[in-house]
Amino acid sequence: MDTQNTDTPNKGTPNKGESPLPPERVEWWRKRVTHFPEARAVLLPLLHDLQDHVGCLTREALRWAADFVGITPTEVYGVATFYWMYEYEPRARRQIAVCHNISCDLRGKDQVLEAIRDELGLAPGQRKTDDGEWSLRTVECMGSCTTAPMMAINGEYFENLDPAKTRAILEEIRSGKHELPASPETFAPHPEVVTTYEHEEAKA
Amino acid sequence: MSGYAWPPRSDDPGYRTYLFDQVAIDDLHRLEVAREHGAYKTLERALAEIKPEEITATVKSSGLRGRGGAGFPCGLKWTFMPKFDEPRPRFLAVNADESEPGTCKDRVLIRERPHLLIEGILLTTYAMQCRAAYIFIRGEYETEARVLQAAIHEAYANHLAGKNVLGSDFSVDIHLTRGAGAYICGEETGMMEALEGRRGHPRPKPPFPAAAGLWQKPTTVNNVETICNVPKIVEHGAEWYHEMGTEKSPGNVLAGISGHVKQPGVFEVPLGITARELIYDPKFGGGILGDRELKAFIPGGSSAGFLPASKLDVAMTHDDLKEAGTMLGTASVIALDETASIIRATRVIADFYHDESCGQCSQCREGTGWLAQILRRIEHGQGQPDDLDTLLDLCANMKGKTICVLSDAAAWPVELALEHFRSEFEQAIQRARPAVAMSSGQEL
Repeated sequence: MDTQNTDTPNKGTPNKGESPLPPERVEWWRKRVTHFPEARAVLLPLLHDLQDHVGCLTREALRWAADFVGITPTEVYGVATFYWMYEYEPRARRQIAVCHNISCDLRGKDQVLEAIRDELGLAPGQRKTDDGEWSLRTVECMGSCTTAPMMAINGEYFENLDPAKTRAILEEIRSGKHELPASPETFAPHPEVVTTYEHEEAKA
Repeated sequence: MSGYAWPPRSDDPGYRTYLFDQVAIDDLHRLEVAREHGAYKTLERALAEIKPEEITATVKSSGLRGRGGAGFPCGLKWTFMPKFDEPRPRFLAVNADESEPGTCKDRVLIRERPHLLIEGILLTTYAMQCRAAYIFIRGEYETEARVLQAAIHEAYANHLAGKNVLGSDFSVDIHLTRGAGAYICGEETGMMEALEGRRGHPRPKPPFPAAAGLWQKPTTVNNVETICNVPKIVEHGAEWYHEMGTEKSPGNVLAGISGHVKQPGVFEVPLGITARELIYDPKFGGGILGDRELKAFIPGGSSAGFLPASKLDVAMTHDDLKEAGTMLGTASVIALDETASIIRATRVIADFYHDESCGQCSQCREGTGWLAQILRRIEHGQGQPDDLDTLLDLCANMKGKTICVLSDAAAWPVELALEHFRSEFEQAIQRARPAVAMSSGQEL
């Protein structure tokens, strides 16, 4: 059980530092926390949003998130580091994740990795191109097993890959012919929730 | 056209489908199009004519079993919730954290039929009189999250969610939360922790979610595919549902077929079909790549482990596969041809569980790593004579001793691989050469 700040649920607490998010996003999140019994329920999506705006989860961003949901920065750090999608160093502009789990392994993920490394000039084990434009990592199952092998770039899935297709995709992205999507959390429309948990509690 | 496959196929499956039947229709994720094809009609009728407890009774007698892996009877689970006069708010948690290697069915449902899912959520929350439904979708499914959020928004805008659904007395909110990458959040209590903004550490049970779930309130957790079955059961009745599948595993299931097959895909099939049909039938997998021989297959996602080709005719049901020493799991078949290395495949899966262990229980935290380490040295020709005994000893100590079943799930594939393919491991150990420098961890 959470022992911290249980007396301040539902409200984003007043933030001490300057917000890493634009004011309209802060407003969005202030409304969002009213949909949950505890403010910290928004933590995972909030960290996604912060990462998208700041570029990675900086110390300041984590501290701000902690203030916002009313828990300690240590607790936020503990939560964030449990999940692989958050990063703490500035991210490359284009981040490639290649699934190395069973179905992708059987269908030739090694050849896909080789094609990516060759195309981007990465040595085995090297995680970022010298110019900092691209990063590469292997990840566990992304749920693309019947369309294996796959890679995701900035969250967009590219499936049924072979080396030639992989190279062609990288070239299209590099030349600007293919635009990678913006993060979903930033543009998710706000549902018009009419009966929030708060109201329910008031009635109880 | 009667859809049964994703990607869509024009063949006639020769049996009734109800999940993928409309999957080839363009823009079905849009409310307008979904409604043209009958979406929310069952909800409308249910809210006007059917009592909540009647829905639960229908789902219970339909025999629908959870499609998230455990196969627990869905309607029975719903009856574990407190009686309606209990004042605490109650919740539905929707498990869209599909992460079992081999499994990608919920992803198709969310992307292609989000309104079927929402209608299912509404009927389910109505049946249990939940105040809100919290959907937890894995962080990697960004496209699917976008589609589902848009569909939820449409539902709100059209009085299908929120206050007084379709003008009735029933009100419910639907919230979508994106995860951030952790397999263990597919475990129902780990998922609830993540929904509460915590590390996805599974909780000890009891208390079970129906007594103390999300925010310690009564909660039922159902998988996406399970919930998508609900509108059809309510529409056509329990008897109709029993016309498909087997007596104890009724209905259709979404079976993913991946690995060395000619036509990988997700197929809606009646439970009780065999893996042989799924792998070889031209309507489904269409046979092994290059017409090679099948060496092994996994019947239900990585945790289900490896079976030899001699088990191809076991019926894909919860009970038959259990009898064969494995499980239906998520009905995700992975085929390995004669060129595949069972040692490597076992190691890939062991690496996965090691990576995904939440670290609470020592048997799992340490055991998964040791399994991966030993398998890696066998794979790299540095196995030691007693390695196989050590592996089995480890597995025995990892099972039934931890908060959740991730530890068991890590042990099963290793045990099955050694049961059915032991000679391959023994040969590799006999051929082992003196130790040389070797990479100690995963590739990147």
